[in-house]
Amino acid sequence: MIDPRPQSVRRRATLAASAVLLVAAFEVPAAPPAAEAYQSECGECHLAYPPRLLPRASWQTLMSGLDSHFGVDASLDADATRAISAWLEQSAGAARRDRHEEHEGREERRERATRELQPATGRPVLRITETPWFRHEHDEVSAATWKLASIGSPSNCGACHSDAARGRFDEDAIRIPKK
Amino acid sequence: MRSLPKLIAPFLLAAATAGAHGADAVTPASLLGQWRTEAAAREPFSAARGHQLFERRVTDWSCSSCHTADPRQPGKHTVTGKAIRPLAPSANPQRFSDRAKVEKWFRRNCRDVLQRECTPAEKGDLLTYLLSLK
Repeated sequence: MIDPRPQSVRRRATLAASAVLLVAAFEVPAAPPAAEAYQSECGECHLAYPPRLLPRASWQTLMSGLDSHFGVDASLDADATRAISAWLEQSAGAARRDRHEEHEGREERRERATRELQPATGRPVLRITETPWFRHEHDEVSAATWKLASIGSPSNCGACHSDAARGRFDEDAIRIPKK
Repeated sequence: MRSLPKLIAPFLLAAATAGAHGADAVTPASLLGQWRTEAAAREPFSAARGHQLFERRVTDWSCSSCHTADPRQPGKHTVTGKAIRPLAPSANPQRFSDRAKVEKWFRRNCRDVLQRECTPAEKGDLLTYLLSLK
C-alpha cells in the first residue's frame, strides 16, 4: 500500500528525480547514428574497416555496388545506404597528401607515392590491401605469412592487430601468429 | 525504504522490455503466419522441403556453406572466415526476432545461393526446417 502522506510523497518524488539525474549523469555521449550503422551493418561479415583507409571515390564506388560486393550481395535498404555512404565519404582518407611537390626530390617523391591511398593511375582502388599505403606498411610480411591458417588473407586485420576492432593498428599491439 | 522497489520497478521493467517491443519485433510463429498468408498455399509448410532447399547448390554455395549442415552449430563465412552464430532458434533464441533483419538476410542470401529471391513458401519451409531442429 503506497503511503499517501505529504512528507512521504515528497520523499518519493526526490528519490525519482535523483534516479533520473544519476542516469543522465552517467550516460555516455552516443556515436553518430551513421557511424553505429556502419559498424553494425558492415561489421557483420568482416571488420568494419576504418573509413580513413580508403579515399572518398573508393567508398562511393563500393557503396553504389553493394548488390555485388566482391561477389556477394551485401545490399542495404535505401535509407541505410544513403546514411552510411554520406558518413563514409565524410570520414574518408585523403587520396593524395598535400605536399609542395615542386620542392620534393626524386627520393622524397618516391617515398611519398608509397604512402598514398590512391595509386597514381587508374580507377579508384576498392581493396584497402591494394593501396600503396597498405603495401608499404606491410612490405615486411611474407606471402607465406598471409596464407597461415589463422590469418588467411591480408584483409583479416584482426588476426595480427589485436585492437583492429577499435580502429587501432599501433605497432606495439601487433602479434603475428606462427601458424 | 520499502516503497523504493515499487517506485523503480516499473521503469526497470519498461527498460528491459523496450528492445523486445520495437516495431520490427517478430517471432518465428508470427513470421510463419505472415508467409502462410503471402504464399496463399493450401498445403502446410514442410521441414523436409526446407532441408532440401537449405542444401541446394545452384552455383558455388548452399545455405549450409556458411551455416553448416547442422544449423544448431556455429557457422563461418566462407570468404572472410567471420564466425556466425547458430541459425536454429533452439540454439540461438535471438534468431527470427527482428523482421528487418530476417528480410535483409533472406534477400541477400537467396540471391547469392539461388540467384533469385526466395518465395514466401520457401521462407516458410526453411523456417519450419530450422524450428524442427531441437
